Amino acid sequence: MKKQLTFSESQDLLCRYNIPVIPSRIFKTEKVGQSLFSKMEKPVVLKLVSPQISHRTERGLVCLNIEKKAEFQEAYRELKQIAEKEKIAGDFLLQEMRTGIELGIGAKRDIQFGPVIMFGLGGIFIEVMKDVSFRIAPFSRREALSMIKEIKGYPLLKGFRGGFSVKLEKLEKILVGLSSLMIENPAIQEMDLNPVIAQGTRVEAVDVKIIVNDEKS
Amino acid sequence: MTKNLKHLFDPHSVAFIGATDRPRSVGLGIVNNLLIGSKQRKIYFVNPYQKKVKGISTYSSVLDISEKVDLVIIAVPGESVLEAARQCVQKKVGAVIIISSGFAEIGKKGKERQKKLLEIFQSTQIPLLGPNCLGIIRPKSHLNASFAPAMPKVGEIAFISQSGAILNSVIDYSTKYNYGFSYLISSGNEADLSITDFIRYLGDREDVKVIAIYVEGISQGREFMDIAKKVSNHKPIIALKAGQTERGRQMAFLHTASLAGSAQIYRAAFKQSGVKLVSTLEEMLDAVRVLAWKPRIANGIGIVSNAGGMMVLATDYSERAGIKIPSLSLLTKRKLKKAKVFSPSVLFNNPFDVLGDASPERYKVVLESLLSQKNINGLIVMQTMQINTEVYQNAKVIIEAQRKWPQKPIISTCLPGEISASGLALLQKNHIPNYPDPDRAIKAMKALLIN
Repeated sequence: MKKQLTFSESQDLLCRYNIPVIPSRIFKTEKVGQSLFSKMEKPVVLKLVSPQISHRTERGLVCLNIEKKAEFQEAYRELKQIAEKEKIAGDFLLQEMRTGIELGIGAKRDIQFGPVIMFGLGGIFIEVMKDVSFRIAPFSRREALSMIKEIKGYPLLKGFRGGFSVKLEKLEKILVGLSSLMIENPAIQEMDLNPVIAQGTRVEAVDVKIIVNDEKS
Repeated sequence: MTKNLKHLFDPHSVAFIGATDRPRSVGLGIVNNLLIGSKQRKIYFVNPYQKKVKGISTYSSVLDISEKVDLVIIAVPGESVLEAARQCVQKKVGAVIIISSGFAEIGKKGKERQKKLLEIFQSTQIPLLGPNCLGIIRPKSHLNASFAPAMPKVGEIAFISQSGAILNSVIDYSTKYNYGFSYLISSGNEADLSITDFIRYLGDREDVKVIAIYVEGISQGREFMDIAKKVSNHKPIIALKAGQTERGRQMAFLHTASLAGSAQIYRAAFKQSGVKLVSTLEEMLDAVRVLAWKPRIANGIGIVSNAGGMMVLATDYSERAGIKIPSLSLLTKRKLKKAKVFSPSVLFNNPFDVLGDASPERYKVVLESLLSQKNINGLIVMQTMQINTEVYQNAKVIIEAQRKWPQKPIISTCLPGEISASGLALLQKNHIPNYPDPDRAIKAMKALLIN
């Protein structure tokens, strides 16, 4: 049987391989949420997380750009109502909001070659342009760099026309970390870090999906 | 555990189970091919229903042969293969090739049969090639253990193919273009020996300069990568991968988690193990021919042409391929000036326009001047058919220049036609490859570059 790890399980796992996740807090009640909210860098994003749901944005389960306490309350109540109406069992997630270049990083297990890591720019670049590169794990930082440079959108990472740029060493380390993670955790079938938001030395996963083979079943 | 392939590739004796002289049969094809090497090794024909094949007495079983048998070829109907295989194991032969089809490729029943076949060989060290393959060919030792229609020339290319039919066509084509092989291997279903085993073996062979593989699928991906990485360090491996366009399946990777198509995984695996992936059979053959004939070089070439148009095309292709075209040094320019084969108004550049009225003498001066420049490591020489282009004489000039600078490969580009035929044939004979299109010439040159 396959199952998806929860957000906190995923976060812990990524942390062990030095793959940064954007500062995130999980909670259930409005009261706890409010106290967490007051301690975070603004603006933040509020999401409903549950292994039951995938296309969160399309279903209105994400509230962006929350700056003030009143905005938080309003967003919380709105999501809570939707969750109750649609019978979604889940937690709330507060995440700091970032701007930068959207990237997509993934991994899968191939029958012939074992763990394969994928890298690309996020959003439409992956879905429409299919601008991605692959490497068989494990690999070195040098191989990771060649993987980054292989995509057509590579110049965008260098700060095209005054846009955001990305510290490539950071990205290399994440790719190599993911490659080790896949080698050392054979139960993991596939992973999806999408989006990963990158600006300068800050390269952080925003959304994580990890599918494992559940040994118990 | 690596099996010893010596008896497969260099047998002193070969037995053929399924020998027949029935016209147009695969069996007769193999009989005739084996007889090519009857002076080099002992040949035994096995056929319990026929006393003689081609006038040679047969044995009713491989077990009746009293001498030692290095290699056995089996080409009998699917269901009788297992019994023949058992006899080979009992006889303790050195290696077995199973030509017969009717195994994993036909579905469930065949898969069962292939499993039984493997069980027969399981506890032995006998290497098994096939089933469902064309066989192997070693032109130099006149070993043709296959039903290929012709014997290719002797050369230094090893070609491993998961398609037997492609090998057949390659043999015919290569003969026309005067290049040859040291090993041709049709790996068939790869029940035992696989492309990986052959790459490992060929990596150490001195008569192999380049390895070409036609791949449909690789079963032990990680092992393939390890071996290919080691071998490609000192010997180029060129791969043609079939089944590259499952575009639909390819990558809705992040969006729907329907994961990457295998085409990209293969591409990544080849790249990481130093295997050069080509996209057409023609590109593969162009690359192996030039790699067999010419030394590998550092980036930096000269381009010589008697037509501006061709020169521009070649420059475009070079740029795209990342091939450097260094400027001419003062010394080279001085040499060219001194030779007095150009009017003083002519500009000396690389790519070099020898102009439409170029004589063989002018080609000679330019070739020699460019080749003596240190950072020009190879040359593409192009000819278009102008009224006074002397292809045959120019060919002589090219061959002479190549003789003088054997470490700097020369590749010819000329659209072959009636007028140019004899000159291009002369080049071919002297191992100067000619390509009709500058794009192919540049790609071939690219294959020679050491990264």
